[in-house]
Amino acid sequence: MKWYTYLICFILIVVGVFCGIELYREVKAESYVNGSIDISNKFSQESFNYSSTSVVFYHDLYDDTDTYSFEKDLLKVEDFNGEKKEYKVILNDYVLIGSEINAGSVFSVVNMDFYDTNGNIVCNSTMKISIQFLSNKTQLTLVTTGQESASFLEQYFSDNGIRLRVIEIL
Amino acid sequence: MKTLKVIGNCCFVFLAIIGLCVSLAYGYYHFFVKDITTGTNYIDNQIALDIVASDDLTEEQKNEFEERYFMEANFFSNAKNNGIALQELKFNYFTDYSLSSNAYRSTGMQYLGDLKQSDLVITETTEQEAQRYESSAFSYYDTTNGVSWEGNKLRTQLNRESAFTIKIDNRAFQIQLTGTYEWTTYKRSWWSLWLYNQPITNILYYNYLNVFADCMEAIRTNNQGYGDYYITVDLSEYFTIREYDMSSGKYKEDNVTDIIKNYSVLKFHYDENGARNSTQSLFGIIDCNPSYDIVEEEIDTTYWQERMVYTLDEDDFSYRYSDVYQGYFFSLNMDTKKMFDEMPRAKVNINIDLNSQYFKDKNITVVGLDYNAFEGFEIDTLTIKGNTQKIYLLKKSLYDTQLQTFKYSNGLTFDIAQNAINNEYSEVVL
Repeated sequence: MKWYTYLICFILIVVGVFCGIELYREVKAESYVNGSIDISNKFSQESFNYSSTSVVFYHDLYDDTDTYSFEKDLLKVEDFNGEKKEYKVILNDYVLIGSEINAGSVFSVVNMDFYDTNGNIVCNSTMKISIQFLSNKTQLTLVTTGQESASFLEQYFSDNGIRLRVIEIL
Repeated sequence: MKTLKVIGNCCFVFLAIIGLCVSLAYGYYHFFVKDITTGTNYIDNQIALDIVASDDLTEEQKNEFEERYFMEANFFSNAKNNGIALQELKFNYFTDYSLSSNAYRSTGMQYLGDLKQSDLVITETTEQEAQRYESSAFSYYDTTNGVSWEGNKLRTQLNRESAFTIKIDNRAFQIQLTGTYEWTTYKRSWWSLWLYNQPITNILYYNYLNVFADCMEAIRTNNQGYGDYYITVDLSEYFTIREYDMSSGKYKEDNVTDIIKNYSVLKFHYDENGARNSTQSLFGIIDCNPSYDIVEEEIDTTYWQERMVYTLDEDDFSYRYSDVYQGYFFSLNMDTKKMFDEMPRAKVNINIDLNSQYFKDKNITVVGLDYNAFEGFEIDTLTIKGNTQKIYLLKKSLYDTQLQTFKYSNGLTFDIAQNAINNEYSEVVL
């Protein structure tokens, strides 16, 4: 055989090996699915439960009532019914007694005293909580009066986070 | 010897013929027989395997760790013009294939403003300059525990060389930005007397700026509007996913499957407001400043302790009728006491108005505080309002209450049992 015959044979063998591997891989290849995603339950919640690491109050520049508010649209709650069921409202492990539970809404008032290192009260904050259970979403509103009150509450929520729950009493 | 050479040559030719046949078979199969195969990767929650399997954690603790999606975004649109526009994107991943909570790591990018896809200029890049490119328009942050974030140099770089370990089906995979965008332009060639338009292929190597802008566009166009929601985004154009092969210890790219789709959950917060301070950031930092706030005159909010103030009134108590005193004694019921036992920082005030509508409706005449009415229950201020009347404080009614202030109406007089109360308090006559 001539030298180029060897070369051609060698090339054919190498190409054959390569094509053989590729052929094997392509023949063996199958469609596959890795993992799954299910976010269908992320568009509503069975009971109201809001948690966050902070709360920031906004003040409308054109509002002269010194009102500072935090508003948030949340997932709709499936079966809230204040007329037929009893609920309790819990903010950061504090049960908010005296909450007004209506057919589709909850109102609470929170009073919080902040003490300095000498045990003196440096700020007395009052915050109104309103939760409206609407057909497509839940509206949470926190309102306080005065910049000092808003600032202390922001600091409190920054330190402790906020965990607000409306729990059905069975 | 000659015979051996002939045999060798024959074998060599035989192998070459087999090689040719295999090549032809491959060509035939590849171009005429082969069916399309698709691979789909779904990137869901990235909770560590040890947390999912842990028996030590309560359900509540597990709920705290419940959500850790590969991509999380924060978008303050500032539509109300009450802050600054802020956009953030965070990637949650693992540092190794163990997929344990010890291998948690998150890296994020932050943009001050409202970046739109249309703001990006499509220009050709070389692979070399694209590989390590990181847009300087962003601030970048890194964390292992999700609490303490840091920026600057000693963090994970968000460029095309970064490969993150993620969890799919409780198995380790690697995800890396490898996508490109190609387009063709035409150039007239002098050698054809400017008659021939020579096609030139341009390549844009995607970087994280492109991913970021697309994610923000997806959030901006979501049908739910403002709020906290989840969407599934198609990352196939940008990212390549490689599965970890346990036997070889290597991440292997799938280059056989014809169509590979990569989907990921994008959890986002889309806000109508502008961002006001750094606590609203996913990283607790805005513009590399952990104390960022648009309010110039900040109030000193340093405090030692907070106490939730409760005011209990008529309808929060139990009442017992006494034939001897011809009236009702009130006391704290056990359920209320138990509830406050679980709230040690509660500060409780008690307000009783003897002329209240509640007492009139229930036809209750209060004559005092019952035996052990509030024993062991901390009270800050006790206020009793009424007309001219004697009020009895029976034994241990205010024992161990640490009462600070006792307020009462001018006309009220008190008959206090010897050990009704065991601490000093200030009196205020209303």
